[in-house]
Amino acid sequence: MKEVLRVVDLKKSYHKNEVLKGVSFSVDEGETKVIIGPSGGGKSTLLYCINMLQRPDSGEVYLDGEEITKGKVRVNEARQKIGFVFQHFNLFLHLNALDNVRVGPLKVRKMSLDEATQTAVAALKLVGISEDLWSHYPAQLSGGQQQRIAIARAIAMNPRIILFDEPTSALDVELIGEVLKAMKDLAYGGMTMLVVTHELEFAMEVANEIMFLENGVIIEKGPPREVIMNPKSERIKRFLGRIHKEES
Amino acid sequence: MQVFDFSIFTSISAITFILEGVGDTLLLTFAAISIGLIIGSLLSFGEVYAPPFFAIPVRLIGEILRGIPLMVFFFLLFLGLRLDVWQSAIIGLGLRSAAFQGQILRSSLEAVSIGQLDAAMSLGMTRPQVFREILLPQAIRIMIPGWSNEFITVLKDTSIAFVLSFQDIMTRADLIARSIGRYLEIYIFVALLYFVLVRSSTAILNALYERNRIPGLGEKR
Amino acid sequence: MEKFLGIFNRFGSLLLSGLGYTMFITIVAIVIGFFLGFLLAVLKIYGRGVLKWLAIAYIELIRGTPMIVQLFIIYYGLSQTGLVRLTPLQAAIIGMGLNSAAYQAEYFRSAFLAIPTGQSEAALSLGMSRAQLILNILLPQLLRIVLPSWTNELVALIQYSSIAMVVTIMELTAVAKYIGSKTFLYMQSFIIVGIIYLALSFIFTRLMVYFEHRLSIPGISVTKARV
Ligand SMILES: Nc1ncnc2c1ncn2[C@@H]1O[C@H](COP(=O)(O)OP(=O)(O)OP(=O)(O)O)[C@@H](O)[C@H]1O
Ligand SMILES: [Mg+2]
Repeated sequence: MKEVLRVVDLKKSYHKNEVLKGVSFSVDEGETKVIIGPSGGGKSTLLYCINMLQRPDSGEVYLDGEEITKGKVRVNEARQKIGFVFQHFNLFLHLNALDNVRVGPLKVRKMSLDEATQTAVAALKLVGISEDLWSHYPAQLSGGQQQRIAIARAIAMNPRIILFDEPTSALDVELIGEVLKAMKDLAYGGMTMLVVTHELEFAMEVANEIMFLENGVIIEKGPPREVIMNPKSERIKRFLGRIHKEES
Repeated sequence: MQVFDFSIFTSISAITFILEGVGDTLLLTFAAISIGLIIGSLLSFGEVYAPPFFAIPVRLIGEILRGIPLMVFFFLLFLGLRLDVWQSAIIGLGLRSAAFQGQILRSSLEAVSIGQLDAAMSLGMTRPQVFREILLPQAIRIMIPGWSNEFITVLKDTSIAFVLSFQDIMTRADLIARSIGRYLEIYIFVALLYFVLVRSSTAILNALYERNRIPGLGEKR
Repeated sequence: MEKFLGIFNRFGSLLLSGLGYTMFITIVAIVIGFFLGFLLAVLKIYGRGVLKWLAIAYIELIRGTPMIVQLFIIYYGLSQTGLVRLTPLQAAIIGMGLNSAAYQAEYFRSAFLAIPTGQSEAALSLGMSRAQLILNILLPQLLRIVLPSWTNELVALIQYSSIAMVVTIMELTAVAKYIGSKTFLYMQSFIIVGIIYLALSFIFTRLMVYFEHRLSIPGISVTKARV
């Protein structure tokens, strides 16, 4: 299997607050890896450091074997190959659904309008956004629709990997399903994904590996069944217990 | 003596004399707003993006321009620097408006959320692209309601150029009022004239706002 | 520098009395505007029929015309009728007060609208009358919300009070012009009053910010409005 992403000993502090204390892992082509862990454990920071929205203090990130943390590398070019789906969608407020997905191919990939439109339309169809919604602005869409469009926006860039930062945690319960379905479709379609989520069922179904991140370190990783059904550390047991309680 | 004597308005020449000032009132408004927009943009970009050694003086200049009465400005330029009437009027109103427009643009730029910029960068946009494609289009829409207010303020404040004897509708009305000795009627007439100008401008600016309005962005309060 | 000092030596007391006029006009006008503005806002929101309509017309007309024209109507216009004869100071105070009322009415109105409807519902459910509701529940919240706009209005009025010079009042700007005409040091004298105005804005802004903090209650949002 070809390796798409490799993170080596990543460290990041905010002032005196050491948020990532040396995180290492890799993601192979077509894999979906899930990160779980308590709030404040550094999950978002990890994702933000991978596509350089935050600068890591030390450590390396390799994309297709090329180090992107080095000063000389054009960060923008690396970001084109790394999709990002945000917790709060962050759809561009001044663009309608279609333009939100089209702006990347058009302005960043420099496609022609026709080509960019085709790409965007294909991505929107993939996440199940029907044509009557294409002209809607973000404020006129439900959270579930917004997040699916945000996923389409990432897909349309034809990235090597997509990072998801708790994509369903800002959604009403009844809207979570449609977003998870889009993500599952994507995973089965062969997209390489790194997902921060607490949706354990989703993890069980599609993840190749679950990593438990707490206090800036990965304290356990393994196949979903093992980590979820039979965790080695007490901390994970307690954490999972809390999630189960919330769900029921 | 009658309280009201509106028969003076049968003398067409009085009215046309005042109405001929409309052009200059509007010209002064547009000139001041344009200068204000250009310099104001530079001020706000300076405040937001420039390093502190540049941003702090820029902020200070803004504070000074906003803290001094327009009339004092006019006199500084006209009597102090001996500029002519037009120069004093345009520069005085323009600089002052620059300070206010700069403030409006700056708070609009700052009102664009970090998430929007993160999302743009996550697509691989360069800084100029983020600015052009995301930041500016959003900031402008957020800015329009406040900017419309500023336009109306400048339009009304052109009347203060009266102290320079700038030949706008205010000065012309005053000349007529004094020459025929009818103050009430003439001043009420010029008040209504301003009201019509303000209301028409508001209507046009609102139409502009509605045309460019996007749900969820820069809604009027 | 010598020239500045010279101006202070010769015209110090005149500058001081100019400052007095500026402050007096501003403060009296803002107080008039406060009460009238509150009344207008209440009428615009809760009023019915003619009263509501009058309040709206008043606010729109005042906000739609320049202050200098309003002042001329009150001073020169009214005296022409022979019905009332106002002194320049009375005219300036009344004119600016009436002007400020329209702007303050809008501040009050948006502050009224910023208070969640649940507050009124809760008060009415206790059996309060409309007047009790406004005085006991809405007003205390309203004043806190409106305070930042009030700071803006105060700073704006300090500056607009210079317009009083056109009705012959010797407030700061008029004093500067007079000094300039006596000494031909226009530049210096206008710089001096410019600095005085700046200092006034600064002091009043600080003072209001201090009050905002003193009076602030967690949870009552303070929105920054503009003229
Ligand atoms: N920009 C920042 N500046 C300073 N501190 C930050 C910043 N971003 C995050 N932190 C801190 O870093 C720590 C980790 O935050 P992070 O958002 O990565 O956690 P998380 O695991 O994603 O939590 P959550 O589940 O709540 O999203 C927290 O203590 C947070 O307060
Ligand atoms: Mg997070």
